[in-house]
Amino acid sequence: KKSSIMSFFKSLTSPCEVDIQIKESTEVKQEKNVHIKEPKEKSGEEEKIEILPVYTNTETIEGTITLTPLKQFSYKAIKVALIGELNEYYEGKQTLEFVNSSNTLAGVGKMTDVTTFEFSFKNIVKKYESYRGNNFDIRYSIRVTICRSLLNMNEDKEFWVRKVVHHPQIEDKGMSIKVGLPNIVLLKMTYFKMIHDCYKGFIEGCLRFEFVNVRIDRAVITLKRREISKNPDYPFSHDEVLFQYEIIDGTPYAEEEIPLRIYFDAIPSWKLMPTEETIEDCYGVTYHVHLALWDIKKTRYFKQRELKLIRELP
Amino acid sequence: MSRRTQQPVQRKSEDEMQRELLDAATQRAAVNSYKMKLELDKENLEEALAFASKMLNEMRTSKLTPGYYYKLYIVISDHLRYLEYYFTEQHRKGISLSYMYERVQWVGQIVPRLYLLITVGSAYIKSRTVSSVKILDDMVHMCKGEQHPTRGLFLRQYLLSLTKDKLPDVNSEYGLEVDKSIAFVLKNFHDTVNLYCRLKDDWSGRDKERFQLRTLIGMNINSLSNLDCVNVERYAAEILPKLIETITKYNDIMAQDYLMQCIISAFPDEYHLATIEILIKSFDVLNKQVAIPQILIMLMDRLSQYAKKNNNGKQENMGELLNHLATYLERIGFNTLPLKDFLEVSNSLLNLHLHHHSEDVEFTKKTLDTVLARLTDVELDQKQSGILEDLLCFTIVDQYVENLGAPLQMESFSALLEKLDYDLRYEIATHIIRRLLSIEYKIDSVELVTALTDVLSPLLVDQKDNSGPSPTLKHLSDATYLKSFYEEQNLVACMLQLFDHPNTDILCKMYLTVRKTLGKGGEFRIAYTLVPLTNCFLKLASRIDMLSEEEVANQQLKMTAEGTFKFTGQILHILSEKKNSQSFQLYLSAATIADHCNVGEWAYNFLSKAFLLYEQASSQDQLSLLQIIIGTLGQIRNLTADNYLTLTTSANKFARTQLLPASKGRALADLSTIYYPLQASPSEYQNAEKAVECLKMAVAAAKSCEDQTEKQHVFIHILTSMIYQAKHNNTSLEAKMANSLFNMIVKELSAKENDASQQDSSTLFGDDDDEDDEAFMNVIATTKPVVNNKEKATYLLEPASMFEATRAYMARLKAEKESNDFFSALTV
Repeated sequence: KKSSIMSFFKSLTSPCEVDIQIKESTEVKQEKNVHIKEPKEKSGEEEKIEILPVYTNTETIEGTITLTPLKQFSYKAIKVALIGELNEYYEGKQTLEFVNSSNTLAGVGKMTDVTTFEFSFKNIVKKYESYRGNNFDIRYSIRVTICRSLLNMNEDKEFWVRKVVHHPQIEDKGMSIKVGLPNIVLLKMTYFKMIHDCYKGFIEGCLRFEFVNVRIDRAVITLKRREISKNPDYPFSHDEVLFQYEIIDGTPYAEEEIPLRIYFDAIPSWKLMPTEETIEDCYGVTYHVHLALWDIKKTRYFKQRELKLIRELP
Repeated sequence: MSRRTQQPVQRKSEDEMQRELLDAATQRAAVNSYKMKLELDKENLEEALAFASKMLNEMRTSKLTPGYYYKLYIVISDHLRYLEYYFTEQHRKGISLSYMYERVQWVGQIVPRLYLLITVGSAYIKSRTVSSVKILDDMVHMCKGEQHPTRGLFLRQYLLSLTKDKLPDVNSEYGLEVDKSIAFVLKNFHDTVNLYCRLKDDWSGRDKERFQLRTLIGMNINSLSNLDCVNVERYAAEILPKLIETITKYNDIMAQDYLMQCIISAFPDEYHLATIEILIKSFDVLNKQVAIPQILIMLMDRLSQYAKKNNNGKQENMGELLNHLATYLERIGFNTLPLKDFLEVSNSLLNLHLHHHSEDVEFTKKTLDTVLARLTDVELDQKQSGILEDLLCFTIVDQYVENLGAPLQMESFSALLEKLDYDLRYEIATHIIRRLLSIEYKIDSVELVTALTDVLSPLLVDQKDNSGPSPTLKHLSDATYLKSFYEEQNLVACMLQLFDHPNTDILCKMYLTVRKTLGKGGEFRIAYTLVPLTNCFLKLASRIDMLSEEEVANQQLKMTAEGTFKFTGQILHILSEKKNSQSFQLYLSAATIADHCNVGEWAYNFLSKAFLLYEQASSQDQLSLLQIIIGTLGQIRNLTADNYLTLTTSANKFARTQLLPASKGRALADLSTIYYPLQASPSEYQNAEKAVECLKMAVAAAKSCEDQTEKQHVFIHILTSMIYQAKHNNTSLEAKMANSLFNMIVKELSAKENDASQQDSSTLFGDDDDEDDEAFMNVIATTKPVVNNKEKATYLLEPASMFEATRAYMARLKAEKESNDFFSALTV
């Protein structure tokens, strides 16, 4: 009895069932689905696990839409759109669409039977990689809109976009940073590369002590993802620790090179979007490696550097 | 004060705290290990690794002391074995381990990450799907991050223990890149030593625990020595310099001490021979407090063993080695070493030297002199004495085989002995004698004898510092003491037999020299030592007697047989003074030999001394003593007739004054032989009538015997004596005398009607006529009582069967000697 009431209300808003099927990606070979496990803090939502199909940013998104009318209804038009939007979560959800490519599937008409439409979005620029951050998301979806006289009916199907690029032509010499206090500790942190492929890549480097006159307790390298917003209403800069790598336990002797190796695979893939310094002129996602060193008196020494993450063509 | 009393309580509670921490950690580890295994069984790698990391997090503790941490390490590494097995199995199932090797590095914490890395890495190498060198390199490289002394030390221990059987080597299934293997172990060694040395800073009060962990650093050296690719060239060129570089880099006494020892014991002796220069040079850069002498000693002792094993070949190297050692010792001021080290080094060096230049007298002397010079005015403690004993006793005595006399004659040798206490001197003395005896060393100079008496004095004479001087009566009741005392004195006696020299004068001098010392040995010792010495003198006398005049003239020998008898006499005098039971016998044998050497006076002299002793003997013993006298007299031939007469008269008196009739009968019957036949003696000695008279008196004495059996025995004894006389044609003996005795025996026997236990008497005599005499004398011997129990004499044969035998013999003689008046008239 309860379900009949439910279906009644549903029939008011949505006169038919919409099923959006996106064809499997032809360009993504591995990890065709992304498993997202979002924490519950964000915008008060419960922790939820989502599984989304993955596509590259240049790929044609095509598929079928099947409409199953619950009863006979008439419509002004049936449209399908590829939507790219940025959701910001302060004072609720603010949405900014940066892509909206729409096709009309049918004009005015009446639907009585199950109808299937095909759609295809070719050459639609998907500038950014899909992203689930702490303060904002970037989401892509296929949206079906049934335009009716009283109330439009929308149905979304989200998919995940990976932004792949060619390997940059510039020579990547990595970087070395010297840190320390004279006569106490002097060290050189070297990262062999500045630009990393966040798919199957790893950060490699070494920590070399040039002078040690202090008993070192430990040193930790932290990989952080920084979200910034220049929104004048709500500017923020928020860091999330993606990985902590204990590089040193104890005091090494001078001239010793301590290796560093952080595999991006150790981080859930949905947490890593390639570095985007400016998203819609307002937002940015950057990555930083942070070296912190404690001596046995708990004095802390630290140094932070930005790394660039890209996603290379497989 | 209050602090001091509190401290042990505190220490105890600290240990307890450690134990509690360890127990808690072990328990948590066990739980996580269990969960890990469950997940592994479910093929749930992610979860399993999470639990493994949790378990390994226990290893991150800084609270446990190295000793307790070691216990935790043992537990955890045991748990990890399951994980390693799992990875190996994965490979068998066809799953690539390269992903696993990467996957375990996702762990953020360094300790669990590296333990897991090594665990997978080991399985990965084992799968042989990857270059082992690559993985080994990577693992040792990644381990650099762990620099905490305790944690790092055990991590590297884990790395080595999992990879040591998977190193590339010649003929290894894990690759042939031997250079990489060596580099790997050397790198790990370097890191391990570094951490071990730093352990001191973190746990300054825990030196004992650190000491116990020293095996962890030595393992690397052992792994190197286990590599087949390590040969002497590679060792000398690459490995040893690197090892020493690492060892000397950290100025840690404990590590340097132990690692140098490790090097010496881990690698073959040939290597040390080839690298002695490098080794010795390394001593200079070691911490001054490292016990270099002990390391040297170890090295020298090993090389001594090596030299012993390979007596031939490689001698050249050895000589060079000795030179290096000598130069080095000189340079470090060998004489200024602490006394114990000094002694030990001297000992080892001498030992090594003697193994190479066997019996180098010069060097031995030099060493002993040096040691002696160092020990002047020094009191040795127990340990130092032990080393000195070792030096004198084993190093020198055992190394000299052909020329043992040489070191014993060195003044410093005996002077050094004086530095030791009685027990050690005693031990050395017995060792020397046993050694001399075992190689049958020929003692052939007066000087050597003098040296020996000096060196062996603990066995020969009472010592000033011997708390219990020569055995007293109290000692004699102590069976163990007595046994060892007899043993040692017998050794001395045996040693006397080693004296030998072609020149009798010198030999005599040697005997006299040793006699001087032996004479001071006290009554208990001389019984064992002077008796054999007497025999030696007597043997010498015979030898001198045998010398041809030419030999005497050629060698200008002065000592005569007579002279030696003089010394014999002196010794025997001492022995008899001390009431030695053997002096009587010795006098008689001396007499026999003196007589043999045609020195009548001395023979007479010795015999008369024996007679005196006879008179002092108890009457119980006298019969047997008298029989010996009679036996000796029968062989004497070089006395003047007067002297002989005097002696026989005395003997006659002894016989007649026997208390018991049986003894008297026997003595008199035997006495007849000193008058007749005396085949080899001068005719003046013979007195056939006197012999018969003796027999007559014997019969008379025997008649008064009370015991029937004894009486029969004595009768038979006399009868046989008669037959003996008759057989040798004593014409004074009449057949009727024998016949009447014969009848008397028959009567006695028949009266007794004892014909039981008839023994077949014919078997008592051989068929061979020539042996008759001897055989017959044996029968006579059987008529004598066997005195094993003084109260009751027992006989070997019943009188009846005895008589049967005699009769059978008489019958045969009668048949053979029909012409003889006596025998023809004999009743049988």
